Amino acid sequence: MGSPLIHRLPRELRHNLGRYLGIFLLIAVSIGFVSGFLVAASSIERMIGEMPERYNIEDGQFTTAFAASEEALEAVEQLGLEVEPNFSRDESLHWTLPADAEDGAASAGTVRVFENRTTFDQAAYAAGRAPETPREIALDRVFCANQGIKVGDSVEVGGVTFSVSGICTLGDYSALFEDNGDFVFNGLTFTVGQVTPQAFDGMDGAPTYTYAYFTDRSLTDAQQADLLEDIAQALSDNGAVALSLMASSSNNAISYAGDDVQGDQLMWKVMLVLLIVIMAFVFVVLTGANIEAESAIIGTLLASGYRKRELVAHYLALPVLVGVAACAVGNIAGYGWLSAPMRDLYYNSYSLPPYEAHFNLEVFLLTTVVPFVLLIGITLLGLLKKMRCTPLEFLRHETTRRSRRRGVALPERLPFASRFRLRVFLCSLPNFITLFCGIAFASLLLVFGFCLLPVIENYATNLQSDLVAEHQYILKTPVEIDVTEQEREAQAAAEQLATTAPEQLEEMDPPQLMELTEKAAQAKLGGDVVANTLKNSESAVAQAEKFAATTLETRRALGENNEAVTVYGIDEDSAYWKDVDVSDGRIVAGRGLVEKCGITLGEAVTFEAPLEDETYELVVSGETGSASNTNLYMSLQQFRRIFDTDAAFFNGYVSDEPLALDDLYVVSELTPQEMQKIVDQMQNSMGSMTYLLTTLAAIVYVVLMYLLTKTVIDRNARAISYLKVFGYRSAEINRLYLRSITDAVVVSVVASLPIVVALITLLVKVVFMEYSGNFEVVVPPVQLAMTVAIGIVCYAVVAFAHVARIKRVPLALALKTQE
Amino acid sequence: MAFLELRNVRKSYGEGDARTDVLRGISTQLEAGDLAVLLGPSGSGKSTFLNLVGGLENLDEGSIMVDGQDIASLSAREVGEYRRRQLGFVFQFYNLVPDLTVRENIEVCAHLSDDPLPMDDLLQSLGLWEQRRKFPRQISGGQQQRCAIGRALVKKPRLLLCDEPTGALDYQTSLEILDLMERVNRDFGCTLVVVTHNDAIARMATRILRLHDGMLVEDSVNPVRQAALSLEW
Repeated sequence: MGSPLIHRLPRELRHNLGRYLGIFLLIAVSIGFVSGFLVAASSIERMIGEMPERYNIEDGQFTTAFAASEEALEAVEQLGLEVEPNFSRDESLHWTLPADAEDGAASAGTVRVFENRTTFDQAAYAAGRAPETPREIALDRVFCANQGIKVGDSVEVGGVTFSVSGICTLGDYSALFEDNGDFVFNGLTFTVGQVTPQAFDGMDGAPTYTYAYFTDRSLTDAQQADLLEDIAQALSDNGAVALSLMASSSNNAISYAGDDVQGDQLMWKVMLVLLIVIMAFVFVVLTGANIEAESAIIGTLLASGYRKRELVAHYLALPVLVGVAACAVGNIAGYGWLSAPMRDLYYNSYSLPPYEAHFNLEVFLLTTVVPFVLLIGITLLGLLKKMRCTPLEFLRHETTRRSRRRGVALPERLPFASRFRLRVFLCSLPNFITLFCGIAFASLLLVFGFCLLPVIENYATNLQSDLVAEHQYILKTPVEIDVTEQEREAQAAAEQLATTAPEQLEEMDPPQLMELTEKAAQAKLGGDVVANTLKNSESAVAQAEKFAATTLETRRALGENNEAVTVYGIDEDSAYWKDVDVSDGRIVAGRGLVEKCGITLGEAVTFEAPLEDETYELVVSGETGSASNTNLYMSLQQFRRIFDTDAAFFNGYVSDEPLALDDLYVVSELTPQEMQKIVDQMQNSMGSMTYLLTTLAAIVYVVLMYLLTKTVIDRNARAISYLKVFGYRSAEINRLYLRSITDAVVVSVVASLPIVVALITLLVKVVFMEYSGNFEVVVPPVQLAMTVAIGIVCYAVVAFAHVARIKRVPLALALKTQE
Repeated sequence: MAFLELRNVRKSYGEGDARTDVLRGISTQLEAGDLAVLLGPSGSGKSTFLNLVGGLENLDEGSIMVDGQDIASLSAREVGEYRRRQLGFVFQFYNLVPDLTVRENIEVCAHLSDDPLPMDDLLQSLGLWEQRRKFPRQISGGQQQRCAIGRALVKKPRLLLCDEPTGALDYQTSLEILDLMERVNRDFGCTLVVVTHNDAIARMATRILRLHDGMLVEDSVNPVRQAALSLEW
């Protein structure tokens, strides 16, 4: 025969429906969100893992300043690689905004155009088809979704109207990184597209000479690094200037989405475990309160011969049932409904092939077995601890350490009401401690959600403030803008000769060809310096300033990876870098670099050149700029000496006026407006995450506050009934009891904030450690105020329920004999 | 005019076949300053009588006039005010708030009055001065009941309702509590209604009421009051 105590379970469930419903809801919602997310993320991760095979995605790429010679490519292929030309052109793109577009929405951007690729980096079409005529283009899915572009729409590419024939995902652009060094992808004003070969050849923009290579995919990181060195050497030996060289694992456009999905999963798993641990402690507190309330019954049962384990099993039964039901419902909701919105979190940001959901045993175990074991394990430990009391202690209601807390002497000069409230608080201390932890956790979710954008905005603002000029140009080779008309013409002639096909040259008029050759012969200005073919005003030339830049790497203070550092060689008397003192051989680091890499001023720091087998021991003697500045500065002369360049070497201009530069030699142009793109993209892709975290935090707030403060009311129900009998008014009772709870909640919400901010600082450091750049943790006071406000609004909802609960406490309770 | 007057008070619980008539047409009057003892066996309706006078339950029929005010006609809020201003309660099991000290338990009701009794004097007169910082579980049953009486008295109630105040106490302690109640009646001029099933206690009363099966079977004046400390049972 089963234990007759089993009959109490349905009654206990009915009697404390609110409590069990709250716990059920919180566990089910947490598991639902987490399993929904993990199912979507693991399915996407699996799909990303399959993409290299399915779409034959490149294993790496290199970009040369000019088209690589046959010899150079053959030298690379002799390393055991297959090489495919993968040229692209960055063209201006204009589109028509949909009718419901927001004011100020962009209608112009950049499209990186490729020829239709059918054998590698293949496209997966979400709608339409590949371009078939010279006036057709296929564009990226995420960009089209952001801008409301559909198949059949017209867009202007490089001033020419194209019809959108297809909306696709390019295998080598799952994340729309315009430049691999960009902090974020940009799916708002940057896209990729494919056109027919004829259309590609007809475009005006300077091509980027990128080559995709294919190798053995099982190479280790070290082997890949060796391979990159060999490729760089082969190119260099054959006269090709490599502008960039990277394996797919370092190419953000290919690897970022996968890394992001992996990293996020860890965060959600940690969040689930934290939530479940908090819920388990809630169970412990609630079960403890239940045992206290039933102390006399337990004492009687033990005195009557019941074993402790039978009673432990009895009090564990409902947590087990509620836990099992919540895990089951949470998983059903997660798989059934919540995985779709979670999938969209990624599909709104990344260009991925059509989604296929996959069952994942690890996710199932993580969201079912782990929470269940944690929940029951912690509850069981709490129960066993409670059950250590003797039957007599149960009969005398001496089951807790409350008696010791009760014994605290409070100063009699304190007003009675204050002492009363203090007693209520002390008697429910475990509840309030658990509540504090729960509130801190919910606040952590909220503040994290709230501070993501401010951190990025602050980063972008810092980068803007660290930009010393309105325009910063990086060049492939030194391009002199202070040149005569004759020198410009000579350089134009040289370029024409270099870029015209031999058969076309043969068709030229001989005197004309002769004249062109003679002019071209005068093109050299000395060293590698070439003349700019475009004319700039004298004032523009006068205010522009040359600098040199290269990229080195140094070890980060945390983690195993290196930080990419842009090293600038600048004029000692620079009109732009006024605050950077690089005189007398001083080397100055950005404050962000000093922070992120733990640089000690005055000590030598090792920097490595990523494409060469070179290391540099540099002594940093000062710091400059904002916390986001991760650059290194030295004088131009010192730069040339350290990097062993020509005496006249430079590869950049800073200028407050726009410069007309030959596209052929421009690698990039940086303006303050570029920084705004970062903020726009982050707002676009993180907005839904902030909303999600706010919703989850609000649920955690309400449920935890309700469960833990309800126990305080329940525990004091008899005393509340006494007060009613004595003639206390409802408002007075509320002031005594609710005020204690309110004070505890408000103090918890406010007092947990410093802890939350400290944890967020740590969390952001860890989360952003893998990104290039140094991120200053910014938690604006307004966001903290919003967190407090949300916490208090959630509590207000709970407090209303408690007012009703206190009103419902019957007078008759005071008249009952206490069990 | 009588201070407390019950007219044909009826109270029943349940409906249909399960209906139980607990009080069946009770009528009586008490004068201000009376010490009434309400006797009767278990289930006779003593506690219901007390609850109705205390405004803790609503009567079915009749009226209860306290100092000229019909408490049956009062709203819930007004009944609360009536308890706040006029009444004190003493229960068999003391009903002290376990988390408050002796002093704080008394302060719970002092808080309700604009002119409470001086706390220190009250603690001294209750013999609880040494125990004032102790918690209910740290003191004896008699001390707990004295604390409960102090709590009821501190707001100077005009009517003190005591439900089996010595029911959980030994003989000697019971005498001490009854002596205290006698002093309260004498010194503060407070009207007391003491519910008990101990007939011996009736000898200290000015009025004796006896209930049996919901009916008032005795309503008499005690011509020879006996001092509480001389009671024997």
